[in-house]
Amino acid sequence: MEEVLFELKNVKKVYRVGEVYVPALRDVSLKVERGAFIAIVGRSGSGKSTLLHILGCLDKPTEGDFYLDGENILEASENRLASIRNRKIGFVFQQFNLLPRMTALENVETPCIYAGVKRRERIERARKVLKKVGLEEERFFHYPSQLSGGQRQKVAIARALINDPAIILADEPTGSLDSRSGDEILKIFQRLNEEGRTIILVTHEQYVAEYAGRIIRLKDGYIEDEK
Amino acid sequence: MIVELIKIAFNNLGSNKLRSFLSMLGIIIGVSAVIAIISIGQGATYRIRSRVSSLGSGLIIVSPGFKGGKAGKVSTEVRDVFSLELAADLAKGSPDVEEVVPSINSGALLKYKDNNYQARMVATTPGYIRVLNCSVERGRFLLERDVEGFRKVAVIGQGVASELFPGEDPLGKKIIAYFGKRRLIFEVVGVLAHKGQMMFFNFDEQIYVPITTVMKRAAGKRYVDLYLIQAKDADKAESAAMEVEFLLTRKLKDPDLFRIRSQEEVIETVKQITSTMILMLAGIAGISLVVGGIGIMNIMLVSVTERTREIGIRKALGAKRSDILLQFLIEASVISFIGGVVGLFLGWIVSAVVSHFTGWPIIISPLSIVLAFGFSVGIGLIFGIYPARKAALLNPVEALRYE
Repeated sequence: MEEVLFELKNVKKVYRVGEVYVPALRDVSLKVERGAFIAIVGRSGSGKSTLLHILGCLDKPTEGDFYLDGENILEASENRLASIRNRKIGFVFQQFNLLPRMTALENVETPCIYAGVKRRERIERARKVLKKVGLEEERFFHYPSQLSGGQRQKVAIARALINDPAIILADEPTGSLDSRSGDEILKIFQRLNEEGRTIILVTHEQYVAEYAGRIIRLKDGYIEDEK
Repeated sequence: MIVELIKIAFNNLGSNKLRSFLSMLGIIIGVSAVIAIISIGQGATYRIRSRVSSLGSGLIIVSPGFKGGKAGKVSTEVRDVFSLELAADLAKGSPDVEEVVPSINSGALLKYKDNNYQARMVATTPGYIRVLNCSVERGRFLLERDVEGFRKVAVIGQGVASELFPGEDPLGKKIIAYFGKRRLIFEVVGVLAHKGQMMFFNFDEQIYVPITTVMKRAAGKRYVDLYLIQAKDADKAESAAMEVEFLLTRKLKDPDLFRIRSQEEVIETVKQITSTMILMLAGIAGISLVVGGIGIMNIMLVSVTERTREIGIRKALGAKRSDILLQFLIEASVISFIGGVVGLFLGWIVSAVVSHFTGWPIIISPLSIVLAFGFSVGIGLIFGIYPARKAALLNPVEALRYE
C-alpha cells in the first residue's frame, strides 16, 4: 500500500466578503499518495484555487480535517505552517510571482534565506536548480522584466525546488505561456514527478491535465468526478 | 538573516530614491536641529562662563537694596548705607573675605586738549585691580597714598587712552573730568591692559580715580555705590557671602537695604537660563523628530500596501510573520539611521558656521550624538512597528490575490 501524503476529510472553506459568507469548498474529501501527479480541473469559481491554497498550507479550512504527512494542519501554529511551506512545498504560480527588483538567481535564493542557509551554499544550490530547469547561465543575473514568460516560469520552478521539497503545487503554470513554452514547463513537471516528487497542478486546459495520472474535477465546491 | 534583510531594505530604498529621501528629510532636519542647538547652546554657555570667571574667581558684589514701593510709593534705591568704615569692618569681621573694595560709578566727560570722551568714572581703591583681575600695561594703578591723600590722579582704560591721546603718551598728561556739576583735573599715572566687555561694562572705556578724591573734593558724598568683595579663594566664595550677609544684617538691621550677588550665583543664573533655552529649543527640535517619525510611518504604510503582493509571495515561500515584521522594521530603521547620520553632519556644519560667525567654540558632546542617534533609530522602530505588524499579519492568500 502506498503512503498517504495529503488527507482531507469533509473539508469546508467559507470566505467572508464584507457581510456575505461565500462558500468556496462545500465538502471535499481527498487522499493523495506520495509520488502522485494530480491535475485539479474545473471552471473558474469551482474552488480549485482554494483547494490548492489549503493543500499548500497558505490557508486553513473552516471545517473538516486536514493531515499533511500525518500532521494535523488545523492545529499547527502560524510559524509551523511557514516552515512547512518553506521546506516541504514548492509553489509555482500562473503570474510567476517573481520579485521584480531581484535577479533570477536572487529570486531563486529567497526560500533558502528563510530556511537559514548560508550565502555560499545558497548560491551553489540556486545555480544547480536553475541549470536543472534549463535556464541558460547568461540569464542568471537578469531581472524578471528582462526574461521571457517561459524563462520566468523556469526561474519560478527553480525557486520552488531550491529547498528540495517533496511536493510541488502549481496554479495554472502554463496559463500565461504560449503552447511551446507551456509544453516545456510541463515536461519539467513530468521529470520532477519521475524523481518521486508529488505534483499537484490546477488547470482549466484539457491538454495540461493529460500529463497527470489522476484528474480531479471540481464543481461548485464539490468533487464532481475523478479519473 | 539580518544581513539579507538589511540588503533587501537598501535595495527597496534605492529603487525609490526620491521617496526615501523625502521620508528621511524629517529625521534629517530633526537630528541636525538637535545637534546644532545643543552644540551652539553649550558653546555659548562655555563662552559666557569663561567670561564671567575671567572677572576673577570668588567675586561677591554687594549693592544697595530698594526701599519703599509699597502702598503706592515709588521704590527707590537706598543710597545712604555703604560707608568706607563699613567696608573696613566687613573686611575685618569676615574670616573668609580677602578684601573689600568700595566703588562709586558715574558718567564723566573727559577732556584733553581738543579731544573729549564720555567715559564711566570708577572711583575706587587699589584693591580693584586685584578683585577684578585687571592688569596694568603702563605706569601704575592707584596706590594707598593716592587714596589717603585725596590725590587727583587717574588710571585710564585702553579705549580712553586711544580716544583722548591718539599718538601721544598719556602718562603724566592732565585731563579735565566733568561729572555732575563738578570739574576736576586729574593727572594720568597709568594705563590698564586690554580687557574688553565683561557682563555690563567695558573695562577699556573706564577711568579709575581714588575714591576719596571723588567723595571729598567733588561729590561731597559720604557713601559709596557698591562693594566688590574678594573671597579668600573660590571655594570659600559661598561662606564669604554668608559672612558678609550676616555682618551687614547685624549692622544695618534691615536685610532689604542691600543685595548680595556672588559670581557663582551669576554663573548659576547664566547656566540656568541657557539650559532652559537649550531645553526649550531641543524640545522643538524633538517635535520635528516626531514629525519625521510620522513621515516614516506614512511612507512605510504606503510601502506595505504597494508591496502586498510581495509579502504574499514571501509568505508562500516560507517567510514567517517575524521575518516580514523584521524586514519592514529594518527598512524603517535604515531610513531613520541614514537620516540620523546625514542630520548629524548637517548639524555639525550648521554649528561650525554659527561658531565661525560668533566665535563661540563648537562643543558636540558624545552624549548629544548618542542621544540624536538613539532617538532617530528609536523613532524609526516605534513608527515602523505599526506598518510592519500590518505587513506581518497579512493573510497570504489575500496578499497573493492583491493587484
